[in-house]
Amino acid sequence: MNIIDKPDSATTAPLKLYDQEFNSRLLLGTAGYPSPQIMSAAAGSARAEILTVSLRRENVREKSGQKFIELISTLNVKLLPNTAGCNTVKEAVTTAEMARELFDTPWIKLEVIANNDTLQPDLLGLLGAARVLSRDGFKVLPYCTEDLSIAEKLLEAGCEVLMPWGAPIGTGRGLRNPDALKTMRAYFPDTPLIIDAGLGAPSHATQAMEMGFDAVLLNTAVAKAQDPVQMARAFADATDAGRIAYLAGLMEPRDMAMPSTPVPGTPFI
Amino acid sequence: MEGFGETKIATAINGTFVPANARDTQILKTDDKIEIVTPRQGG
Repeated sequence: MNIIDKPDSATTAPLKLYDQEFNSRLLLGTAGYPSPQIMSAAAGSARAEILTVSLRRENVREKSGQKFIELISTLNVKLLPNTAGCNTVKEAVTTAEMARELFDTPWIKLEVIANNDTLQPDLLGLLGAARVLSRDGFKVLPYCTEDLSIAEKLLEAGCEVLMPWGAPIGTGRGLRNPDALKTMRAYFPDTPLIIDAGLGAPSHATQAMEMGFDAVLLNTAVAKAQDPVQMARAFADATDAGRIAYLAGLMEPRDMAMPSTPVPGTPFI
Repeated sequence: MEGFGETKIATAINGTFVPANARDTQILKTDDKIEIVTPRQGG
């Protein structure tokens, strides 16, 4: 098909994850906001259709879990529970099983963490948990690195989405290894790839989308901004801009200058 | 579950998930480690 004839729907084709479609390519976390009201407003201005959540021990007196669920269910979005804080296969699997019952969804953002300073994925534990959970019918979205070997094995285990990091969680440093991410994008052209973790500025999201990633997932960048509601909007627009740019086809970079103004007819030569 | 009222919770004993419909018949032993969790904010 002629590029000129590409239908408009190409720029608005939805994000497909497992058996569902989404118009938004920005997944948003719900933690660390100044208030529940700001979190709720930010989710709205982010135009997010998927919000990540967690499970934690409940305080019988405070009933914070109940209040949180009541608030979040008014937002009418898909909830994606995570296994944050899990260091072992067993912890991650049990957390996922509790999450499946609590949130009534087989979707799980799978985190198995190796180290509390870097919060880097424990790739072996991640693969082990992904195998168990996929076999048990979970739809796993694994938080991983750019390691191609583990990525292949995660897909073999039944994952249909991969979520490589941009930078360590909460650092806001953007894409620290864009070359490796480019390679990963090229190796798995048909797999939805979501950059998850470490984004700080909307320009990071645009960069990820310009590289052809399918979506971005972020939390701290919005929650810890001076104005989370405005920042959420900025991220939504930045993600859209990056996606449109990717589909529009970026110009080829050059080393030598080339005038944009035509040379023939230049006066005073 | 006693004390939690309407709050939605999930449970595990000694690191293994216990489904809601199994709680009534679950027998607890001394030194069992029980986890009770609810929905919470997360990234």
